[in-house]
Formats: sequence, structure tokens, C-alpha cells
Amino acid sequence: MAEALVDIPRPAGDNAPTLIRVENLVKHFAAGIGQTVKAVDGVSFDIKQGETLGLVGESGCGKSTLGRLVMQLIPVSSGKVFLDDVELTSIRGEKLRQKRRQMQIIFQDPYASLDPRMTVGDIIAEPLVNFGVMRGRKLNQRVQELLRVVGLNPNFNNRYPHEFSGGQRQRIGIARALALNPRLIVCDEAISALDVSIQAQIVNLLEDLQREFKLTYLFIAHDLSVVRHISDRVMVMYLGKIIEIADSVETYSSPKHPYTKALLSAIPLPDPKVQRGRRLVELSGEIPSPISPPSGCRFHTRCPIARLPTPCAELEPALEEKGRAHLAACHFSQDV
Amino acid sequence: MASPILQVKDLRTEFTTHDGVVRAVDGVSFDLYPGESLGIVGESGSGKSVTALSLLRLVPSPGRVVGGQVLFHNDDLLQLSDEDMREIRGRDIAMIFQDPQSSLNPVLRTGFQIAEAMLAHQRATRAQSLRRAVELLKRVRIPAAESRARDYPHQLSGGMRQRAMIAMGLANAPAILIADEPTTALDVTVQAQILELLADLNQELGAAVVMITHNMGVVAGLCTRVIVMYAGKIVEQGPVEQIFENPQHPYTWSLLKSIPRVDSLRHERLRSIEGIAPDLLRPPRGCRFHPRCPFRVEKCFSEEPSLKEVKPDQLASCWVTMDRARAEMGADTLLDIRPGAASGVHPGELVD
Repeated sequence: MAEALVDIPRPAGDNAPTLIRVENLVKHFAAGIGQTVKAVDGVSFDIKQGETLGLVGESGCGKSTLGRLVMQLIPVSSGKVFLDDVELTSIRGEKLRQKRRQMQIIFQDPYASLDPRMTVGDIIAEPLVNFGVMRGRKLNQRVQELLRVVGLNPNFNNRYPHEFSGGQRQRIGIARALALNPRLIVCDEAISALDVSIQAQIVNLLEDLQREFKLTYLFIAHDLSVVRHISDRVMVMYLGKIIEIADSVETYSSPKHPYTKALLSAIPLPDPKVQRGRRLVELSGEIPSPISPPSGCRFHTRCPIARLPTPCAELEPALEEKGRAHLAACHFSQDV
Repeated sequence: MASPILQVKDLRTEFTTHDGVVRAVDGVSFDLYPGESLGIVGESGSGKSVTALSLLRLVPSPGRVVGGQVLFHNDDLLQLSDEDMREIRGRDIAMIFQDPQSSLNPVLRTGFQIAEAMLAHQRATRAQSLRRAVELLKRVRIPAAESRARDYPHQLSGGMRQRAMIAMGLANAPAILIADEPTTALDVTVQAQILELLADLNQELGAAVVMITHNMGVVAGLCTRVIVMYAGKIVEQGPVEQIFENPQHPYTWSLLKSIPRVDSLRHERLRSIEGIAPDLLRPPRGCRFHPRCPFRVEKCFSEEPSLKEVKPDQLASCWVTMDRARAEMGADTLLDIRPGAASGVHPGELVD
């Protein structure tokens, strides 16, 4: 609990092996006759073991869909997902189920993601029972241990979800996710519904658990300040595309995509002196529809530095290295 | 300073439930000055939204205002007839809500809904009101205002709907605009646009703005004074810069410490507030924050502190205050923020 206020060493070094590799992932949803929502539209990245990769973007950018695709909760339209060297997108049935044990997800809404008619003990035990890992007294012990690990009273296992506060329910969701000793946990807006003071508790808990159990996180959220805080690297999505990936400090200090810069400047800082002096990078308008994304660079309709029509409205910029381990998809990243 | 335009005195709002009485707003007093921008911050259940609704007598059943005064131009709004109150609402004091989707009527054209706000209070003709609705849509920077006025709410984006709501709030040039979490449902880039609009309107029109929010960043950017609420009570209030720089209530202090900052260049562990907000059916005795407070002393368990001036213009309700917590309990270098950690006072059992 008493934690030094110093830089906490990041678990993942540059040489850590790759846990998840995603290649050219595409997910299109049918939306009425002849129309498709291009939710995820050609995305490639990897996640190293022990790393926290943050994923941010505004509503409709495809970040939650991407999280579900990585976990194979929904089928891909095309592209590949690898866990270690096993291509998850090519296996199915029992083989996939066994691989899935290594990946768990925590959802945004701790109210909706826990069955109200199951006791907390049964909720946490369910994955262990499903995979036939243990039963009887051993199972009970494991459930109590998991409750303790997430900071809840181990004797609460006979209570129901409604007897807990929002933050406590999110702890229950985390305990369930930890039950099978997963290697990857996808946190999909896992703290967005919580109050500020509770958010901090859960963020600290996730950091502690990561160190203790050598977890890898894909941390999805719309709140860039929380994502940046918890992540080693931050990935920014816009309309189904990754537009920037960088070390979390670099994301803030030298963004290479105008959208990342705009997102950062739009976050109100809890500091009146700094906040009043800041200039909001005015982004006109709102996100276009992913059914018919703009031509060329998808951000060109809102971009403050776009050169129109050529090249920004005509040529789609590739996600390229713009600095050490810093990728961005912009024709004019030097002007950002 | 000019005299206040709105004076709230000892406001009390209760909700009667099966399990007992919840005192959602429990003796809240503050003044609002003409043209100022006042932030009311707090977490869920702190009573910030119920305070706003109480001012306009819009508290939904089973809640009701059970005490206090809301003085506006020598009238106590809580004593007015329903009819007189309806005149004040929307004309003198307007309110905008978090969710524009559910606050707009889906079967009426946007422009007409704004015009309706004027028709209800003024003797303007329908045509005049509709023309002014278009002007208002322009004023809240909606492009192609003429054609947008003919759109139904579902044809507008979330950000535009909130702009339309603001236009409606401004329709009768109110003296006070109460905004209840107006940007919480919006994406951050759209939030920034709406906040900028509200700041401009506050300047241009001179309407006093009351901003209800859970977001300290929103207060920092928009407000000049801030009220911090916890468990139905004001725990601290004062000028924004002063409070952010030197909060005196441990709740304000820890709230500010628990927010990750996007501009921090080091990874620091967040100082979370342990425990959860109290159950208002059975609020703790003494100071309501004491079960979570690292600086609590014995008095905090039994005696309730009152809101008093701790610095010029700055009020806090705390027996200890952060000045003392810094000087005597090493608050600035505190690593352990568990309840009673800094003061060493651990009597009683913590209810979790």
C-alpha cells in the first residue's frame, strides 16, 4: 500500500518477447443493405510480454471492436492474430478454447457484467469450473485467495453483486479475470464508469497485479490521461485505423499526428494556471461516419494542417516510423 | 464585490426511501454573483446535481426540498407559487442537462423547440421566435443554422444537440445558466468545443454560469470559484486558483492527488482515496469524510466541523485543515494514504 512516489520500473524491457501480434486486421459489420461499417480497417501492432499497451480514441473509432478481435470474441473479417506463435485466427473449437484461457477481459460496466443471481464466489469460480481446473475445498480456497488479491474481504464470497459498490464490483470482475492465471488481460474502459477517487484505487490495483503476476495489458479507454498514466506505449485510433503508436511519455511530449495533438490539448488539466494559458487545438466538427470514411487520410476533414486536396484527401498515409519506436500515419508529421 | 444574484441558505433536500430518509443535500449555503462562473464538483452521490435541481424546484419524487431558502431578487424561490416559479424557470434561470438526447423532444423540429422556450415566456410571435431561434443556433456556432433549425434532434450529432440545448437555455437571455454535467456524455474533442462555447457565452452575455461537474479539469478551465461537495455537504469553497494551489480540506487535497495528469512526465503512483463514499442512509457521525481521511483526529469521529473561513475567501469544514496536516503530519511526503495513516488515529472499526 505504501508505495514510494518514484518512477516505477516498467516490467517490459525493449527485449521482452512478443506476446500478441496482430497483422492487417479488418472487421467490417453489415449495416443495412449494401452498407458496411468499417469498424477496424487494416490494423497491425504487437504487444510485448509484461507490457501495458494503451489504446485510445473517441467513440466509434473501433477500439472496443479491436479488443474483442484480439481475444477472438468475434470473428475477424480478415487478418491474423497471433498469441506467441500460434495463429488464433486459424484455430477453432477446443484448441482455441484452451488458448483463450490465457486471455481475459474486464468490461466497463461492473453492473452489467456480473450475473445478479450468482454469488460473488460462484462468479469468480466459474472460469475455474468451466475449465475443470479445480473443485471442492481447493476451489473455495482459490476464490478466497482471489478476493484477497483484489483487496476484498475473503468472506464476502457468499454475497451477491448488488451488495457491492461500483469500485468493489470492478474488483470482482478483476478477480474473475485473474482466476485462470491469464497472461493477457484486455481492460475495456474498465475504469470509465467509476468515480475519480475509485478510479485511482483500481489503477493502482491493476499496476500491483501486473507486477505480481507478470501480466500483459491491453488497456482500452477514451480518457487519454488515464491511458497515458498506466501504459508503456500508447496507440491512438481514428475511424478504424491506428494513426500513432509511441512510448507514453513521447506521446505527450512530441506527438507526431495532429489528431493525437488535438486529443491531448482537448483534455482539461486540473490546474487553473496551466489550463487558462493553454490553447485548444480547435478541431472543427465531429468524427465522420465509419460507413463512408473520408478519402485519403481519414482525418483530413478535421485536420488543422491538412493540405487539400493533394496529398491528404487523395493519398492514405502509411503508419511509418517517425522516430525511435514511434510510428505515425501522417504526410506532414514534421509540422505537428 | 457586487451583491449576489442568488443566495442559497441552508438548503436541505431529502429522499424518502423504503430504507429510510436520504439527506442528499444537507444544509448547503452559497452565494452566486452576477456574471461569475461557479463550479460545483463532487463524486456520485455528493449531492451536486440534487443541489442544482433543488434551486429550480425540479427535484424528482420521492425527493423534496425540506428546508432553507433560495433568494433571487428578494424572492425566495422555494416559496413562490408554481405559476411564478414556471415564469422564473427558463426566463431568469435556465438549465442544461447531461444528456441532450433525452432532454430534447424527438418529434419536434429543433428550431421550434428553441422558439417554444421564448413563446412560453414572451409575447413574441411565432415567426419572430423562429427567426430568433436561428440566430441562437448561429450564436452557439452551429453551421448552416437555417437548415439545422428544421432538423429533428436525431438528425443532429451529440455535440450539436448539446449546442441546441444551450441555445434553448439562452433563448430568454437568462441571468443564470445552470449546466449539469453538460459535457460528460461527449467525446473529449467535442467537450473542448462546448466548454469553449460556454466560456465565450459567459463573457459575451454576462450570464452567471453554475457548472455542475465531476471533472476537476473542467472547473480549472472554466470557473472562477468552486464549491467541493462530499456526502451532501459543502466541504470546501473558494477561488479556483487558490483551492487548486492550496486546498485545505483533505478530501479536496486527495481528489486532486488522485487524478492522473496527461502532462506529467514521470510515472507517479496515484494517491487514491481509500474506502468508498458513505451510505447517506447512515452517514458517519462527526465529519463525514473521517472514515477515509488520513489526517483525522479523535474529534473528527464525534463532532461535525462547520464550514468556516480558513484563508481569505476560502472556506473549509475540517478540524485539522491541510496547513496543519502539512506542518505536523508531513502531508507533502506522505506515502501511505490509508485512513488515519498520517495522524495515527485508528479508533473504531472501518465500515467498508
